[in-house]
Amino acid sequence: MSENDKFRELFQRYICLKRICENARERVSNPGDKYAQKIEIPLSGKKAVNRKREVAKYFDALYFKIDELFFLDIVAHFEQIVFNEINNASGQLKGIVKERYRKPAPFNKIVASFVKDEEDIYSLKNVYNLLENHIPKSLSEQLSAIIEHRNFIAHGGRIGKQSNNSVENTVTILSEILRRI
Amino acid sequence: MSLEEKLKKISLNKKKRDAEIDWDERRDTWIKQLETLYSNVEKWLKSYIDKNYISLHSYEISLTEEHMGTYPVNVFELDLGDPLVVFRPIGKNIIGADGRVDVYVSGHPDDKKMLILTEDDEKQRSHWELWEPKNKKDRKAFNPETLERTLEDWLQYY
Repeated sequence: MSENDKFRELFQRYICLKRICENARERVSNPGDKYAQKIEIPLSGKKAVNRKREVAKYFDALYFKIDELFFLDIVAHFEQIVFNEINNASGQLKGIVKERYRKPAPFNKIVASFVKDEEDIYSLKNVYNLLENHIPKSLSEQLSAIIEHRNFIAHGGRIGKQSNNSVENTVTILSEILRRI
Repeated sequence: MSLEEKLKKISLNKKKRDAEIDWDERRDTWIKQLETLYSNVEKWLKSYIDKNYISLHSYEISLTEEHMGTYPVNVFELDLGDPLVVFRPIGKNIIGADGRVDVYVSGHPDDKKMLILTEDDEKQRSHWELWEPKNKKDRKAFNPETLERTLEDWLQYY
């Protein structure tokens, strides 16, 4: 499965989760339906007007959470692909330099140690530093914003900043970066 | 300069920059900016509110942001009879902006729009823009006309 197919699959799962939520919301909005109890949404005894707003509040928070979880999922997936590629690239480079860089060149015995590997490039921030100036500026700025936003969600707002990227934009940006590396 | 010296310099500069910002003031300003936004929306829709076509509600949520900690803000709601339009603050520390509020019809988050706040440091003024998240080039000043047009778009199937 190609990276883009995998991204598409993740995105379809995200849409599916949202549709499940929409259906649940419709059922929960009907006071005659006991579905709210079944899925343990605390709405019993609410008057019709309050119930409508309570349902809205509950499900909007749920949609918001789905967006955050999907964002973390898609960035984690991007990280997985990138580090696989780094591993592959590093292995190939080590092979090339070992073959080409021979005696009597200095350090020829340990030449493979000069090639960076995933222990050197261990975070997405390092990946950003590596790619910066080698991909279009707008794309590297977007990657930086995605990393900040990921940190923001992962650390509960304690560090990082939020971006203005929609979920769809994030998928497009990450796919475009993968296409270029 | 060694790597350690460079890192130390960067770290000190960042600490200095952060220390120069009064984060409590920034948070309080943000809360006031939100209240002004909500009162403007109320003013712009007054004729509909007076006719009881729209009723206003709000409830409190907590936001957590770097340097600003956890603080309460109000989510603002326009109850249009059946649809409920929600103004949900997202945060003050936004990349490339000075605040963001998401606006959507409850239950239809895919059609949401973003209200992006930009501050002009020199003129000490700020303004809100209405952004279409799926097309970032689609940006308009947020004013009575753009608000009405957005509501009309959302309400076309009702």
